[in-house]
Amino acid sequence: VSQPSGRCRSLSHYLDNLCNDAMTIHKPTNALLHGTLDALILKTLTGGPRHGYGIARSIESTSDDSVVVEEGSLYPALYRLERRGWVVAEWAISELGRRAKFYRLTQRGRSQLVAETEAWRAFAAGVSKILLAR
Amino acid sequence: MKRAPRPWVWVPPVEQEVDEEIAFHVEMHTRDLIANGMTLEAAREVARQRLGDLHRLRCECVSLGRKRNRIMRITQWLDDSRGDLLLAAWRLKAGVRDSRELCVPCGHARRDAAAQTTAEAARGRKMTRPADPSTMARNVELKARAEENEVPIAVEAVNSPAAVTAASYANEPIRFAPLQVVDLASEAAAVSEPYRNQVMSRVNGSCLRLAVFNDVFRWHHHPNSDELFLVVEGTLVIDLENGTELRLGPWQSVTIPAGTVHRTRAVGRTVNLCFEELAADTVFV
Repeated sequence: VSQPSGRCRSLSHYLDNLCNDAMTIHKPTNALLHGTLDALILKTLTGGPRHGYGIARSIESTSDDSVVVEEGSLYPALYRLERRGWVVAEWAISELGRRAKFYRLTQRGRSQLVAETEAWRAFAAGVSKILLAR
Repeated sequence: MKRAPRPWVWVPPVEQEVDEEIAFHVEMHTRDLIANGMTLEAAREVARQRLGDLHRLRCECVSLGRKRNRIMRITQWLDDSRGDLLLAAWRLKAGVRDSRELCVPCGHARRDAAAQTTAEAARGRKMTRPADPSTMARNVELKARAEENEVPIAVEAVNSPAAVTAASYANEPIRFAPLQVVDLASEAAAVSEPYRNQVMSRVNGSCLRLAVFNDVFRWHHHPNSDELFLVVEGTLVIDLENGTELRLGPWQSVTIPAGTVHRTRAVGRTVNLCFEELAADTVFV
């Protein structure tokens, strides 16, 4: 019995996976849609300055854990928001008694949040029209 | 109100900033997980795992932080030089070639009134805008009057709040000498620019300023001088940092204590007199 070549093996492996994939009903993920994290961060900061960890926990608790923040994406997102001038960072003493970086919403961030919320409303309404159509 | 530390006053290196932030996040998460019954080791492991590839995260954040710092430096520079840039653009547009007057050190200049001479005023080392024909006519008149009185005068004046710098504010020359009758009403009426703030007279170590404007001034404070505003015409609103609005009509006055951050805002055309230290420093915020 000849062994399949490496290429054939990987191809058959791929086809197996494809079949399995097609047969399985995946559990819907609660991963955030691209770009939604920025809006959620801005919204969370309307309640006052928070550090990164506080933002993540606040998003999760406010959504009753239905939205899980990918923490590896949270900090890059915060740096990008800072660069755009939507938030500013300030070092202050945290609940642990040592300094931490707190993020605060700027006026520009507030305006952006209004625009993001409007865009979300339109998008969600559009998706609902399709998915919830009878 | 607590103000954010300005970025150039204290900024930890980006690497340190990112490391501290990630370490803080891991520590906070670990504590929460321990509080929910996890062991220290397991909690720390979960907290780290939730952040994904730490090395990659650190690299990404450091790179973004550097970009942010570059942009913030440029923005800050633009903000600090706004007055100079506006003026430079204006002069370029007007085709004025003499750039000597453009370069103004925008520090917290102190002014020694006693040392201020006609010669100094003639050098005109303050930020000035080229005069439009009406201003020029007025300057000729003022110059003639100054020669008559031997009192230094502003040949050209800063006539926009955006163009005012600490130096230009402090270096306004004194218009009138003692024993000279000054008709403040006609001086005010003669102002046609949207903004004009002139030192009219000196009284001991203080001065009387005449401000005529229909614009919003920038947020600032005078660290070493109280400032009394007396409105003569129109309505002047003085905004304080805590959100208070002091609204003054004709013949109403208020004193702003030294160090209090404020901003004057004219409702329509406003004429007001201002009394303060001649050597008042101005810090824009």
